[in-house]
Amino acid sequence: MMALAALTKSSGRGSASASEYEVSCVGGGSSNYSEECETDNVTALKFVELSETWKKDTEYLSKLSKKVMHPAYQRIIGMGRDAIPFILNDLKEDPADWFWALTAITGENPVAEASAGKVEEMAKAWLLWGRERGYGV
Amino acid sequence: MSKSDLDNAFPNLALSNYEISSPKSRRYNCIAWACKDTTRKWDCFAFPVPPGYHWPKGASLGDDIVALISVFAAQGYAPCAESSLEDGYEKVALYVDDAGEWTHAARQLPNGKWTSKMGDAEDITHSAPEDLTNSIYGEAHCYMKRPSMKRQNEEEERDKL
Repeated sequence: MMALAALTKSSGRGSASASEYEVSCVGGGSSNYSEECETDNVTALKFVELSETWKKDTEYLSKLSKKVMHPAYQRIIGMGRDAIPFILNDLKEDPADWFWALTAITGENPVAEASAGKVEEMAKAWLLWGRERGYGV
Repeated sequence: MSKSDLDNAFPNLALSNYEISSPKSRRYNCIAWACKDTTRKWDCFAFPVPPGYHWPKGASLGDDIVALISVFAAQGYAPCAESSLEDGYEKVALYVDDAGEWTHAARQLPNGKWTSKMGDAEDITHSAPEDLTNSIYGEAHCYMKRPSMKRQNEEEERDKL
């Protein structure tokens, strides 16, 4: 099993600052466990920082094309599949506009046509997609 | 975000008498709210793999204001000259930024005030479309109106006679 950094918000639901997150390692068994975990911690903190910036800067935007072209969002997409567990985790807490990023990274879209725009249903479809692929969400 | 964050982002709002009228919600956006739909987000930006968000079938796609006008035309709105309250009609204001792209829609309330969903933040009630003029939303570019439900019912009753 791969080492995986888990993000836990120390406060309640909703947005939080980077300092409110605790990063811990789960999994193990690999000889490179601690190295993998450290790398993953860095990824986790990078994700938190970028997602906070994106949410703050685009809070008043409704238009998706403007939101997803924000540099922080694009950098998260640039993290590739490493970003998926963190995006799914965030989606579970607070269904922000992560759907475009998920389709861009994975080339998939598990959302049914009837759920288009219904963010809670879209989030559920992606969380199920994640569970089916072994992401612990 | 708090009222002071809104004031900072929208300087005209800070000078006006506005109210926050809902909790924050990511469930719907400004276009959906202007169309009285609080169940989903409306946007035509294409996803790398469909489906994306809701956009009425037959409405134009793209960033040009023509696309947004077509959405409201599909809801029975027609272009009109200005934003003042007209008895028997409901109006919307459509916003365009400096790049010429549509950004926002606000809906007039029966009392003449306006209501807007502020992105992922709250709904607000504001005095005039101009209250939201800023670098994010640009400015109200055009207005559209349609007969209110009350007027539609009256016209139907009249047609029956």
